[in-house]
Amino acid sequence: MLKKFATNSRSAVIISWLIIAAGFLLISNPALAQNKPPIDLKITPPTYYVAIEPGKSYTHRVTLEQEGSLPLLISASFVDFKSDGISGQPVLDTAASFPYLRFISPEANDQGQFTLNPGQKQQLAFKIEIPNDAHEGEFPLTLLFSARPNSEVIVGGSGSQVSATIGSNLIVNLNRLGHDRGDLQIEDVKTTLIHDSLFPLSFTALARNEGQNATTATGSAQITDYQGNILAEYQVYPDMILADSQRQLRSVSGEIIIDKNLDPTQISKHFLYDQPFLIGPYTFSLTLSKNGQYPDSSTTITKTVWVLPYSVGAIFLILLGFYTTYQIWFRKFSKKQFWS
Amino acid sequence: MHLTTRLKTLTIFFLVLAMFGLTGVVRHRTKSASLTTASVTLSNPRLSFRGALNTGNSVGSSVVAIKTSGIGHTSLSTAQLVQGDTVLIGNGASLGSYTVAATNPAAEFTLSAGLASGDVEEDDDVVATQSGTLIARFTTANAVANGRFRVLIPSVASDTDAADGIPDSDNFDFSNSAPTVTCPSNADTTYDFVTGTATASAITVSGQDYHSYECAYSGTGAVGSPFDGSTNDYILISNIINPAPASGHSTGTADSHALIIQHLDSSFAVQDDVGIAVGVIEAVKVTATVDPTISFSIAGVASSTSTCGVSTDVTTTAAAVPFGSLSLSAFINAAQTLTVSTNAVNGYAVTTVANDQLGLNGGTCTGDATTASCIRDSAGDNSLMSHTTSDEFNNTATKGFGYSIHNADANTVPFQYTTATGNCSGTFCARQFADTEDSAQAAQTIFSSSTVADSENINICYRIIPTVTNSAGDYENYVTYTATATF
Repeated sequence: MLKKFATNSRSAVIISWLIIAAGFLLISNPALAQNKPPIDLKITPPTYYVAIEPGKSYTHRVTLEQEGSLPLLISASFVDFKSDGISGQPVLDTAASFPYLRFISPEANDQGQFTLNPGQKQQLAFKIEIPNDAHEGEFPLTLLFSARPNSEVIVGGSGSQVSATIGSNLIVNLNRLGHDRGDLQIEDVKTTLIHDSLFPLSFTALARNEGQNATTATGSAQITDYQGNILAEYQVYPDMILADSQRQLRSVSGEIIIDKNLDPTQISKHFLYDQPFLIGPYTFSLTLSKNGQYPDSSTTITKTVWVLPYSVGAIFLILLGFYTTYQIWFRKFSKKQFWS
Repeated sequence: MHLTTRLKTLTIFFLVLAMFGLTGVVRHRTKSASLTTASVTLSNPRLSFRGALNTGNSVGSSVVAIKTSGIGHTSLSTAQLVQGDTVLIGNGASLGSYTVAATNPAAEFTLSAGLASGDVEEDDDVVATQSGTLIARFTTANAVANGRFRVLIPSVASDTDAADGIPDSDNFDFSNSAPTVTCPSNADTTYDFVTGTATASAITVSGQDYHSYECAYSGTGAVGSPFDGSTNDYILISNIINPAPASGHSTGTADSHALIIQHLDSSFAVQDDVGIAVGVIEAVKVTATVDPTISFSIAGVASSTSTCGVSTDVTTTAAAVPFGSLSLSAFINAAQTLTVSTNAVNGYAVTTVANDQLGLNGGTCTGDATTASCIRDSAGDNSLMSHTTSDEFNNTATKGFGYSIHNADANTVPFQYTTATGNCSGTFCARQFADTEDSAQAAQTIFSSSTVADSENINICYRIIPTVTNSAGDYENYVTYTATATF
């Protein structure tokens, strides 16, 4: 009897644990489902460059996906953008000046609107048709897809209605000859004329594209001492610089291979040389190619800076000041003691 | 001398002579051996690309169609190419240089600039070289005085094709600029190396031509000398152009190439050698399937959530911030979560802009209106707040609408609620929304990154308090958040 009781008890324990485990599973699954945000858009590609000869046409495709939990009403449009002049961030305009692009996806209505359901991935097409007499030039555009839940949003009382918009940049270059007509020039190299010995040397370079199409920044830089010894070498990171715009050049150490495996933390916004103690004149030399197709045509700029230990000097002066003050006070105090 | 003694002497003499002769033969035979612990590594094991243009390519177009079958070249898919590769397109001595922008689909890729005249004809070469350095390591089997080590790398038979800088199928190209052979730095009586030499397609072994890279030395040599980069330097050869795919190459499977390392004596006779296989493969097979994307999500935040240093009063959704009934004496706080992920190498930016101030029943509020039918954008506790300038928004006597940022892990934010510089003291630092109705104020960046991002997010915190002069009713506006990649 005891044996039967023990067997029954063991079974009861096992069954109890199975029920508890099943309960956790049931509870956790709805929680996982609720972690999906209602609006979660993904677009491919984020940026695309296309060069077209006047008289030709091209169909550009982007893929938009709703990874969120709500059916969405998407409105497609496109606007011009300009570079922010520093980092390559697009600054969107409110309208488009490029007249040869139209949204042709059959899924959309006349207003460029269509529905995107949860989990749905939609490929969308934009047709570019260039007339023979079109003027050459570069047209940076952003294709915008604004999303709202596909049901009326009721805001009880006062409130703000919110829409999420995701953009895909499309840089269109109308070019009859097909050559890379980018023309990069070094706009400026910024640094302080006199550096402190205890701090790293830092140079910031700005490049301007005076050409007619976006091109890749290609070049190198080095820092030398007063004897011409090369102390540091850098590669210019191959950022794209749009026509008629400027961008701050980024640097990668000369020893690192720039490829798809490059660790982003190895890209610096400045050209830095960091050593424990520097003194004397140092020269920064930057060479930038005109464009990616003609790397041998380049410009070079050099800047010489002086490094002096003025913080060390300042600390010394402060300490000297303290010492002098103490000596004066001590003598006065000693005299008082004597006369008293 | 007795004849017997003479015969014995002669016999002994000839026996000794024969012994020396045999020894010489045996010694000669025991000299030939394999170099041991030999290895060859390539710094860049990617296949070079050598394909051909298909029909239909045109001057000025940046879209390039290649042939995928039935040609003499063996690169039949753009899977080998990645964004940023330099490709040469054209024929003979005239090849234009271009940069790959995108490589999808397999028969087509796009360039960053259009094709030039002369680079569009069917069957024109499409070439992307992959080159790197080769390191040969080995241990000597014998002491060879005043000898040399020679690395043989397979080449095509034609001397012209072997060193034209154009990748060859199943063979290495010498390159049209002289490679560098870096020999070990030993400089003693055992090994004293001179500058290395390289010759294109110089040696033929068993009907196969090889490029020859040599490190000659003076000295006695030694048995068991490891040239492994640790005890002694290895041999380093730079600027070798990797082969294009072998005939019948299977994508994802390495093509194997047989190299030879030889140890020669002062008469250039091979004393020891070893054959080494090295594999060359597409390195892009994995990454070619990862498309560049940007993802952006908005999620609501429940009431009573602690963010921006406050507890939210209302529950928001992804599409609405319902303040409900507004209080004249206390702030209403609300929040939403914005998240971005992208593998675009230059990162992203998210901007925000409102269509207008909150107007009664959605009506228009002209400029920075302070009328009864508009809840104005807050001027801040110091009356210095704008859509570009932050100010504290913590005093309920300061009326209006504004927002702050609680940064979770975004790379860069322009400010957040704890900012304690400028006009802010670090309690609730806030700004106005840019207002397109008011002089077309430009959308403002609220978070960004200059590199790839993995679910970087912020909470955007709304704060509102109407004035006593605002009419009763519902006030509304529209706020848009836009995420784009940095180019």
